[in-house]
Amino acid sequence: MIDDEIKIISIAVILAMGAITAYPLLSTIVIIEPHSEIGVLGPKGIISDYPTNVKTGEPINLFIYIGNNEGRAQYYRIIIKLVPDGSNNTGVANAETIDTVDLFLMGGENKEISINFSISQPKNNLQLTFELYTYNPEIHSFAYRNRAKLWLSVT
Amino acid sequence: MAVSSDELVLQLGPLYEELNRAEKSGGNVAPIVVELNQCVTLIKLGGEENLRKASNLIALIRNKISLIQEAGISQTTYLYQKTGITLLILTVLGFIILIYGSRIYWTLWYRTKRNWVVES
Repeated sequence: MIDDEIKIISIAVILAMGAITAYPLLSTIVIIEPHSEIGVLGPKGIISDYPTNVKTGEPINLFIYIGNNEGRAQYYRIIIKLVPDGSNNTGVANAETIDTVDLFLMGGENKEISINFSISQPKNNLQLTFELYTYNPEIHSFAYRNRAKLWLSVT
Repeated sequence: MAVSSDELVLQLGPLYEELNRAEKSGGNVAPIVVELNQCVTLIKLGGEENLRKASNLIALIRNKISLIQEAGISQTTYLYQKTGITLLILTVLGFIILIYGSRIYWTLWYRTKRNWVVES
């Protein structure tokens, strides 16, 4: 019957309008797998030309990439540590801190931060470790999340 | 009174907690995130002048966050109300079509074609 077809089309149009109306509300409550990303980039801001052998006191320039996929604004802390080779650490390293970087990112935002430092003591097979922490409002403190590493020798 | 960089860094955590609450209530916190990064830069640079600027900026951010939170709550309430009313109207419209659809269709059909003459 022709009036049944008209009814189906009308209901379909109403359902589409309902979906369009509800979308802005539904999009605010969509749950994603929250995660944060950290990566180390070379002096040119790309994944190459990493320093492997440096001299004591020689300036080292690197970029740290941070990506926020937590679904909300996030307060990050990156602690850069010099870990001697052979240290069997899987999480937070108990080692010398050479720099700390604080950063705020909106949900879905990412940033590359330039860092400059030098190492004063000659050492072989050092692990330059970039530990990523996020501020957790529930514990009113930073919590360890992830890390990135770079191996280098200082002569 | 001079404020140390460590004291200012300690204020950023509670400030982020307030920002988090404002964001959850639907407020747009993007400008605050930019200002918080400015604070971090000023603290990192150090020096009395920069730390004083950072301290002033933190006070300014604290005031702004409460306003953003209030605006977020009213925006979210408006969005819920608008969506609810629109969905209610569409639902009623759907039922009207389901119940009276045929009658409306044939009434309109008859009204548009009642002056037609059938010729053989």
